[in-house]
Amino acid sequence: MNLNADVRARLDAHLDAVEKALAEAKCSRERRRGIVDDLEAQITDMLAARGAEPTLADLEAVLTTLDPPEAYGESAGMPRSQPAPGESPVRPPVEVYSGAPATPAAASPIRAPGPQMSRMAVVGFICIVGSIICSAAALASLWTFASTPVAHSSVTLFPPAGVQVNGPERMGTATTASTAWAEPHPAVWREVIIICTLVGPVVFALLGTVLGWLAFGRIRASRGALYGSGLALFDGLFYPLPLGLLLCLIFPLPMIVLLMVAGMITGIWFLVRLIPATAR
Amino acid sequence: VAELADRMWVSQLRKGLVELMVLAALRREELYGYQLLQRLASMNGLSLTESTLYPVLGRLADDRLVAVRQVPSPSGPPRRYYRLTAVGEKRLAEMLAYWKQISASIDALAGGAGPTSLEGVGT
Repeated sequence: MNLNADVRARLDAHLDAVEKALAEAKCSRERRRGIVDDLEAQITDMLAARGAEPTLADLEAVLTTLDPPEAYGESAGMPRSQPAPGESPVRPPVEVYSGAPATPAAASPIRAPGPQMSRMAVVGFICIVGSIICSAAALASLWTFASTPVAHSSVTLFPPAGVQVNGPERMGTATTASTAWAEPHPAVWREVIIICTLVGPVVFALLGTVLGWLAFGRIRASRGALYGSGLALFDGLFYPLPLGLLLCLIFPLPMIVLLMVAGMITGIWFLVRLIPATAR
Repeated sequence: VAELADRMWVSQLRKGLVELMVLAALRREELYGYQLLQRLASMNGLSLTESTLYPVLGRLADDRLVAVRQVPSPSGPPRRYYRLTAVGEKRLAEMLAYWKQISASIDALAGGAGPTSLEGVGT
């Protein structure tokens, strides 16, 4: 069947409009291409039924029987069916009939809509950064307190043993130190700030590490739907790895024993899992 | 407007059955898109439009329920033939089993008989 230039241009315009509607519906490029190829094959079949050299009027008549391009946007927005257990979300390549010349479009594998970055890994990274910032703030606070004279207030969160705190009336009388260049920090605030600046980095670090490992597990389980395993590993190892190394330096013998035991347990676990799998 | 609203339930019901319809149509032979469209149109109450069918075929292929191969066409661009994969056959069997169960239950409800158990369906 021969399509003249006008018919070809009109057909291409319709297919482009369909592809645009699909793109606006966030349909992946490869799936758009598949849909447009199916549609083009249908239109050319319908045109072929009208004669060997269809006219523009034939094409217009065919197009009026078809859905408008915007209808594809609505259909493409329908949810995906759930993948079956054990199957990959990545689409298999299209087979090309041996007699047909393989076009680049046909030869390239068609992929599912793009994978998404693991949000958990990103949040974990933010926690790690937060812990670093909190650590810096803690150091700065400690440095400031160390260089600033402290009001000797009797009000403190942790009074020394044997000292009884009777009430606020003693605060004024107990204050003995002051300088011209800085206001002294009341002891209670000093302790509150120190606790906050010390707890903050620890909480953030723990949160970042836990989120990192959770994200890594989810990324592996997602079978390609999520990415960011590098970032998740970074989150998960940022504190544990240096901490482990530090422990190895401080307590070499117990750590070697601990690592050997952990290695043996891991080895046994692998054997227990591998042997039944091999037997099957 | 009332007539349109009356027809809405038909399109809603059919929307839920599109995948089952397509998989069932591909059970015995491989078909290309337009062929599949004509096959469904020839069945009473199963007609689909191309803007519904082709995105569904894309999703099914993404999910590896159907496989695609391209064959040159005498009338124009290559045709994309779809066929059921083993995973697709398994899914179709599950869907058909479920369909039969709910169909029997609805028949029983409408006919006034007791409910049919749906336990174990879709597993």
